[in-house]
Amino acid sequence: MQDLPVASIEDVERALQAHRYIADRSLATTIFLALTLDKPLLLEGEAGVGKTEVGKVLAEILDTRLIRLQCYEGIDVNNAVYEWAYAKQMLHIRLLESAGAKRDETEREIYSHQFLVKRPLLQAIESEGARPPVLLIDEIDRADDEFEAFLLELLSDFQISIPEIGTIKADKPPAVIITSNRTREIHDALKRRCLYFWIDYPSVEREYEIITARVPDVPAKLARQVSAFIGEVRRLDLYKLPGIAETLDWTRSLIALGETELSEAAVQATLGAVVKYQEDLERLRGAGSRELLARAVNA
Amino acid sequence: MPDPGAILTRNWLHFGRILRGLGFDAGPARMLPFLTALTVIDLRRADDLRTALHVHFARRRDELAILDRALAAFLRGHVPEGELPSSSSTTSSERGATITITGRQLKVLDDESLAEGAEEQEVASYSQAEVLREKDFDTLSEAEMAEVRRLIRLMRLPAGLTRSRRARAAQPALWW
Repeated sequence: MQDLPVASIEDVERALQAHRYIADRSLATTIFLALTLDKPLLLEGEAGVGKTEVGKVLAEILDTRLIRLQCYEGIDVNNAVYEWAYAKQMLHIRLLESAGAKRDETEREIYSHQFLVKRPLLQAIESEGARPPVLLIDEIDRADDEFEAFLLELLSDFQISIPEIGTIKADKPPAVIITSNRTREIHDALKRRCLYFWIDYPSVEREYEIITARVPDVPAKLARQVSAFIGEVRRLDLYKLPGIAETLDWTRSLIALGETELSEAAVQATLGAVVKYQEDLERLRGAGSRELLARAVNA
Repeated sequence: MPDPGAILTRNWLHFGRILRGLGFDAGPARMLPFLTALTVIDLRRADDLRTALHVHFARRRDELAILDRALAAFLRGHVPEGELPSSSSTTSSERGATITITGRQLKVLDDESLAEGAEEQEVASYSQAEVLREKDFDTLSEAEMAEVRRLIRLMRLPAGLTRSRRARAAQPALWW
């Protein structure tokens, strides 16, 4: 258990609010438990609901460094954990050879920390700041199954084994946030090592709070109408429902156009900020964006 | 007088057995951090207790509702005595106010209206999915058709998962 700047669930709630992250108490409770129990936190939810933002805000709350690993298909240990600086090693071997160094001495030297290129996971383990960093492993579902196996040792013991050097263990375990858009199922072995939290789309009232917190210059009427409209859109059977990120983008677009309330013309002109697929756009227009607008305005 | 902390721990361990009966991974590796979590949250707050349960035992979103029902049934504690696991040799008084329920009872408790008189017997039940399965398509109302589409979307093939380059499941056709 670390010496935390947040000593209770209420502290976490207040800190999230102070950093303009509007969340339900359940998320504050989850973050508090993850920090108190030193457990990684797996956040699942649709794209754009604020999962990555949790990692960023947590680093600010803890006043520490954020180390981010963006996952992608094909990511491997060389990109995520460590890599040997081969060119530098070759150069060093030549120098040692010309100096007449012995073979085992050469081997010992080239496999030392000097030639180790530290990638995000190793950086998080070896971090030497006053507070341990926040390690954000973003979109783990994009990585291959094999990559999850690399994470098992890290997440259970906060250590990494490098065959040539040995095992490197964190003095203070980092706060680990893993996010997944659930485009594929994460392996149970990984889930077992984490606390699990599902971030859902916010309610209309909660979304209104988020808009006013993140876009402070938004007129209250516009914020209310936008949150109600987005709430209506999320009832439709779309390929990709708008997340909070889309709501905020849309609100900023409307403000940039000088709108103070929703109108049919403004909605038609900016629907591209709400939905990102042509089929959804057609569906939304077909579903009667005018009716959705009427419901949002009267809400 | 029995130690209230020990009784509480024992009750939660019984709850763990119930979760295992329901198919959750509630072995010692999960129960220990869960019990630790219970010492750092305010147990009088139902929402915090619920969250602690979710974060420790859920592996996917659709399990959250099952955990909620299990917790609600466990806390209601109106389940008859005598359902204690056979491996336990302690008496009821030694155990204190131990509460235990089986997975089967939880299924009965699923329906609030049936919960009051629930017994370990056949319970008359109704399944919308089953009714729809028996009906002909041409007799379905619009609402029933929409429900059929929703259920079809939820269906999964029994085959195992294979790796593909597709990042997201195919969506139903737009004319649906």
